[in-house]
Amino acid sequence: MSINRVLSQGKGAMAANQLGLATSSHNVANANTKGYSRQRVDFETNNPVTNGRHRLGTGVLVGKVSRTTNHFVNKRLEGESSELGKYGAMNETYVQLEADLGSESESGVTSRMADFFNDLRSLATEPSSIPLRSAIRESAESVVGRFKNISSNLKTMVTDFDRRIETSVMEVNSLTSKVRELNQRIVDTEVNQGSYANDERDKRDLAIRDLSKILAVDVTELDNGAIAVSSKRIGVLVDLSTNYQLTTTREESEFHDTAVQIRTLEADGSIGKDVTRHITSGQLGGILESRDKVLPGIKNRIDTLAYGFANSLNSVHQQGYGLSGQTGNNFFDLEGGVKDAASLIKVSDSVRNDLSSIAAGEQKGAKGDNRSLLALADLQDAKIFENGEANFTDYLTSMIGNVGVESRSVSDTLDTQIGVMNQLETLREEASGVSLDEEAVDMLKFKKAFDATAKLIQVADSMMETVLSLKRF
Amino acid sequence: MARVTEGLLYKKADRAMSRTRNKMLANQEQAISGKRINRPSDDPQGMMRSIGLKQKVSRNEQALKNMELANSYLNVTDSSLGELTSVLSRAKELAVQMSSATNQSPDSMKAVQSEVKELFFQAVQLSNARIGEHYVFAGYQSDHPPFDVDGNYYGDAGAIEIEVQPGQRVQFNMPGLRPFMGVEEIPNKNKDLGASRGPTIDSEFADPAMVLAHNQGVDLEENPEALAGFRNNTGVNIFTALRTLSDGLGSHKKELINESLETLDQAMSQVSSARATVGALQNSVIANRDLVESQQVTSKTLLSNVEDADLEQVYSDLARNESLLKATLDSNKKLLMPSLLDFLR
Repeated sequence: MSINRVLSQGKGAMAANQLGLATSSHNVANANTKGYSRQRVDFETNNPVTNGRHRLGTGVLVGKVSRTTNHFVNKRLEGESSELGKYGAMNETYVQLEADLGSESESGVTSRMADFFNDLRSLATEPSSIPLRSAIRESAESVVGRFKNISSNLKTMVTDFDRRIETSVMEVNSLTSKVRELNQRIVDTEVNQGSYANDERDKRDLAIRDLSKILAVDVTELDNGAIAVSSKRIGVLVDLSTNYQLTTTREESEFHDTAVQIRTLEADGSIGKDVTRHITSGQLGGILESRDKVLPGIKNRIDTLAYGFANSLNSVHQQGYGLSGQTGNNFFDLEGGVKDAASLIKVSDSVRNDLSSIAAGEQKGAKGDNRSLLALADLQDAKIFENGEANFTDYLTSMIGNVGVESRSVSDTLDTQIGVMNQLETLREEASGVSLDEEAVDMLKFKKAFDATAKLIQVADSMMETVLSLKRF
Repeated sequence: MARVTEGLLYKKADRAMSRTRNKMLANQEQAISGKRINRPSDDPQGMMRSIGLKQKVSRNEQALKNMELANSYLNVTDSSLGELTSVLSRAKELAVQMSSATNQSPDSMKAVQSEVKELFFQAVQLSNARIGEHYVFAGYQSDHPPFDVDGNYYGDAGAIEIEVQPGQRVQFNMPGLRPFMGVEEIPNKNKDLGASRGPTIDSEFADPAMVLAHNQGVDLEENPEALAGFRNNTGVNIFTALRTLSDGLGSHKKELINESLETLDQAMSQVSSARATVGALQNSVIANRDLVESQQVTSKTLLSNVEDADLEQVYSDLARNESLLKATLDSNKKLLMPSLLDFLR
């Protein structure tokens, strides 16, 4: 009886140590898997039996295979991911803006305007010179070209943001449906089968972290192991067994002619409320802030500048006379108001088609009169912006300065955020990461135990043989 | 004791290397561009200053070009007036000879008259002096000769100015009215003389007082006695003076020759006073040029201070970061290699 017990205990112990080895091998295999938490087998003693006066152990019992994870660190990682996502997106915006506006000091609007005003002064020394007039037309085209260039870059950025919003929303939907699916599997495993759904939980944690990066979410774990996910002012994204999708629509918006807006999708498939302005965190929040706050501000500045430039030059130019007595002409054509001025501005047809129509003098027919040109050139100093506080250059450079300051503060915040994330990831790694040394030790440990158990079975076997040989006389 | 996992080591190594590489990238960017500020966020204030300074430099460069041209304009004006002085002094010399000599034969009078006519012609030529296509004495009407062969003025009183410094202008022409016609003050610059130019008012423009009256918008037909009031403010018409001398010689009238003697004297002082004004304008241009040139030096130095990278600093940073990177790589090599598995054989 007791030899059999040794055998059966040996069997249990071999199985348990094999399970230990299997877990180690799972750990080693997933040492580089994103979001994986190291697992371990909990051994406990089997229920002992009472044999006469003795309480005898009955070997090892394998408890549950569990994962080692720091719940608090995981929670913080979710929150900080949102911040990281937001500032990452904002930083990208500013990097791009700086690339577009950064060349301002070399070949930007201001330096092209300066060239234009200088060409006006050049012509003022020789008002009837056709080559100099042609140079003015070129430099005017170059100013206009730069305006168009900036406004089309801004427009491209908006289009790009729209596309990224659509992709992000698709990602949110796929992540929430993944969470729902994992919820079901976890409930099934843990409630119905009674074991820990370690790998599913790792995957779900990772999905939540990815989701937080796009959009800040609140997560509540229910008693059955499922989680409910919701986002502030948007509503529930996942509950027990349902995920609620978001959708994008292209519609008129406050800041752009048309833009991609984010709306909820009702259960019956109809499009629900507009939640765009409620999203202020995560990558989506960063993209939306860039698209609806940062870019419109810059666009408005550029438009105002183009509008002021065209109109102030036109009003002076109209007063003057061209070489053949032309008067009342515009230098720049610009229809409409400030809105989109930078993309609509162009050199007027009269100047484009007839260089002699550039007004030089205030006196009709006096080809040496340069007073209009001087008056036009003086506009370089005219303080027509910010309630008469700023000229063209001041107006633009203060914007560039602002972009620089903002960009710096965003990239500083991003650096801090990356630092925080690194700290948290270190903490997570300390708790949940796989250490190959540790696993090697475990492998040795389990192998030795396995070997020892095998030896035990061998001993039991030989004991059994001894017992069996007793009846042979 | 914290657990140290392989994942942690790799991450740490990765971060350390990318941090150092980022620093090196920034150094490299500065080394390549030679600039401390490569985007607004590098130094927003500095970027704004550098744009402002660049504008100033390019504007001053234009001002220097303008002043170069203004200077050559004024030089031509000055040398023409200089030659005009010699013409007038030769005429005066002849007038003195002719008026003082007691007995002049009609033939010699004739010979002198033809020389005076030649002098008149020279004066007209000088009055139409030009640079390229621009007649320097024509005011705003610089595209056509201001004086015809009879000495009638077709130009106007336009003062052509250029910017010599932001917000500061200097006139660089002298309308022929003053040296040739004796209209000392040009009271109303904006007066539209161009509309009334042309043969119909030739006679009117022969008399400086009439020009002045016209400039001030006085209608002499309605108010003929007003002309006397303008006489005091005007000098002499050089062409009239020469013509008077020539007429006197032609008609043997001593009193005409004597009259021209007096007006020629006035004419010479009128020309030299105009020359003095041209000289003053030249001085002003040169003074401004010197000022702007020294401003350019200052602005460029400031600009370089604001935006240029301190290359020695950059290179030493680069070298330091490079050795930092090497150290990181080296320590990673040692740290990442061994594991217990390496020893279980």
